[in-house]
Amino acid sequence: MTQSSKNKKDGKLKSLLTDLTIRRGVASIVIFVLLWEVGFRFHEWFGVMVPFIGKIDAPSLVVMRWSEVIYKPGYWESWYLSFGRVFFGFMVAQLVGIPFGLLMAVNKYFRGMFFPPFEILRPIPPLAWVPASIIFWPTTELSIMFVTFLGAFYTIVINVLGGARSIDIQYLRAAQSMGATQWDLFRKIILPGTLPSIFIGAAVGMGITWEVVLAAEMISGGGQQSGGGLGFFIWSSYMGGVMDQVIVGMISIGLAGYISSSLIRYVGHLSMPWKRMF
Amino acid sequence: MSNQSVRGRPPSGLNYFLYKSGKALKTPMPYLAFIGIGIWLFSYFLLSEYWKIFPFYKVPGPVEVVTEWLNKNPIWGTSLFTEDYYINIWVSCRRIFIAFAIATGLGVPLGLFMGWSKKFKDYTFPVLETLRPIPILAWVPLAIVMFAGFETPIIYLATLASFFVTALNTMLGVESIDESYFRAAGCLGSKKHHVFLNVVVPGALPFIFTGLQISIGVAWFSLVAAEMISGDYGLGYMIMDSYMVNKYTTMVMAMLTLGFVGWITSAMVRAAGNRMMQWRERALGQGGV
Amino acid sequence: MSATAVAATGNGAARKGAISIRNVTKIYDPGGADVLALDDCSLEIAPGEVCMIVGPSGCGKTTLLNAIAGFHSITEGQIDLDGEMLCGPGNELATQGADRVVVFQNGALFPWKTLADNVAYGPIVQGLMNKAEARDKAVTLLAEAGLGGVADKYPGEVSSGMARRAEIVRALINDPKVLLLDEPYRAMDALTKSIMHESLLEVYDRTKVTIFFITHDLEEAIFLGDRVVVMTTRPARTKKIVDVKISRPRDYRLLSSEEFRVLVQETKEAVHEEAVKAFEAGERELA
Repeated sequence: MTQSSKNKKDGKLKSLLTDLTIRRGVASIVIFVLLWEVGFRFHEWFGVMVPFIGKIDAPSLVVMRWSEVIYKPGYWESWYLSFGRVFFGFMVAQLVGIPFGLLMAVNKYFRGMFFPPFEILRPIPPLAWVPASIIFWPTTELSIMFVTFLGAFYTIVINVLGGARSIDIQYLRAAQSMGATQWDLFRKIILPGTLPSIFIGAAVGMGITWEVVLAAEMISGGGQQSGGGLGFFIWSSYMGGVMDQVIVGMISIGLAGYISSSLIRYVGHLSMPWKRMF
Repeated sequence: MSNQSVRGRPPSGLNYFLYKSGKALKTPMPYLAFIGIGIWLFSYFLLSEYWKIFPFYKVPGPVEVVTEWLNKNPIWGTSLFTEDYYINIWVSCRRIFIAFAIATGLGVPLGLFMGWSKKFKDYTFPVLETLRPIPILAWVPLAIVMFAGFETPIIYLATLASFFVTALNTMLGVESIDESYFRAAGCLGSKKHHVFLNVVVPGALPFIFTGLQISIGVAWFSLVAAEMISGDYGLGYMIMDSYMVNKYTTMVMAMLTLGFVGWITSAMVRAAGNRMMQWRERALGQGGV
Repeated sequence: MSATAVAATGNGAARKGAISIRNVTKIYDPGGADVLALDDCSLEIAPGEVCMIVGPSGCGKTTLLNAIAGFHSITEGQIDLDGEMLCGPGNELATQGADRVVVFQNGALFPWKTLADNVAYGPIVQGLMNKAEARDKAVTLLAEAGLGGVADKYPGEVSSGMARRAEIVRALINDPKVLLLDEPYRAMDALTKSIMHESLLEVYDRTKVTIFFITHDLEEAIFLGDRVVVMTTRPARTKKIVDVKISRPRDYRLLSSEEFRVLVQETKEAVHEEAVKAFEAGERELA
């Protein structure tokens, strides 16, 4: 067992490196970066401007700018601020949304009453709420949080509802026939049964939350005191005409979003040992 | 070979609609909905207009908004009867239409190929997945630099958002098709293009339409944001602009209109999907899938 | 009429649908754990024979069918069809083709096509008929199978029994050499099953196509088959072959006859032994 399993592990790493899929993926990204670089340099080398893409600062410039920016505390402060807003808004959305969704799923009267207003408000994009939110809440920070909350809230409720209602009624009946109380049913069947949907809703909601935080930072934090955050970083870089820094910001946000989603998936993985979800 | 029921054929069309409505009205559902919406509107009204509680009084209440909306000579300049209301709606809708059309036209074929050919997916998926996490709005500055004018960057942003969603869902749709269908097609003597047209495309259709509904929502989301940041005309612009000049009633009107229009476009996509997937409709009608 | 008799009285045309399975081994590798599905399995099937394969769930019967159909490759050994190699050394994966059509366990009629369009599919994509001709022939064949009234319905709208029969029509319109059936009636109740059996027998009597039929229902196996091949639990090998020397055409009255009971008993002893072994091994069934 031991010797052959060790060989298997070495074999796995080697096979990972020679795996066709991975090699192709790496090749495609390399080609993409090269085309991008060439597209930008085209103007310098040949005097002809490649339409659209030719204006985007080359990867080489972006990398150089990034290596400068990492040393500036302002950059990391943006990360911290954005992450904070995302985390806070997201958490509140989960804390309010999950119970709300579950309540709607289990109690049909509650659902009958509260789902319609929910559905009526849902098509209004969260960002459309920004001005109203600014009017309503005393501070800018709170107004951003509110809009962030809205974005994730809709998603999580819909997912929880769908997930809870799709639990096979047989499970509930089986439990009842073994003497479960209403509370038991909720805790031992409905809650775990809805967990996969909760995590899917959370992962999707996370993406939306980032979009909203970014937009809110760009729209409202643009010139104000409580600005800051990666959105503000991008916007002010743009205002200052430092386009390669804009791209640094873009990639940073992409990374941040990816890290958050991965975190959620990881937590989901841990809390649902019975399912290999993602 | 008779599948006739004892009392004749089941109702269809208008009769079916009336039958279902009749049944629905006997349940508590519609009344609860009425109560729920009523509670919401009423509390909104009480808090903002009647009792004028902080901070609710800063926001225009439902009565105020509706009266303005129906006013032939609106105080703040925009209502159901003014021209610019419709111009704004039209501009936003036109942009959505273009963005959605391009995104679907590019995204569906790409998704189909990615789902069908592992080789193709290996080469295209990594690049897509690297770009996808970047929030659409982060592209705003780049879009402004790349494209001239106002219109193109706005449409570009909505298209981008919609494209990612459509491509991904289409790909998942193809990957969700039961292996048996591919095998059945194979052992009936199909060539590759037969499999593509007869298995891949129809098989992925349910996922494609779910994706399209999500993608039109995402397109609206991005469009509104783009209009708010750098626009002229459009519902997003209308919201931002009326906020800037303190025309709050108009602002709320724009928000609600936006919600309504967004809902209609989503419903249209859903209806189109149902039309194209007749086989599902009929199977569901029989009580099973 | 036994298998050999069928072969001897075959019409002057070339032997149609003789399958030769020789020393076939199949090793799966799901996630690094080698699974031996088939171990040195050999079987000769005569043209026009109804060959029933029985054995405990997950023993590898489907793997054999998949190899013949061209869905999976084999690791060792060779499979021939009418003397020509389907798969073997140097070419471990047979090409899929309309000479060996499969009827699937959970039904694989295209849900987005009507029954008639499903049946017409084969001839159209093979370029043998144009759309109109194929549709006409499809409707005719469906009517012969008792499905004339539902030819324009979607699979989701008809009962599973009708759908399964339609799937068989879809296979047979292509005049295949071999009809491969993978527990097609598994999910049906006994009453529907008996109708399916009669329908299949009627079809067989007309076309005399070679049938390779996997099932776990012993009575079904003996009722339908010329020979019943009992497979061992994983890894699968041929354990025992029971000849069913009952003349055709057969009908349901056969089920209560003495010779039928004797055959069932004989087969049951062999299968039960393997079923117990499989149960004790407790492994999850192979796909």
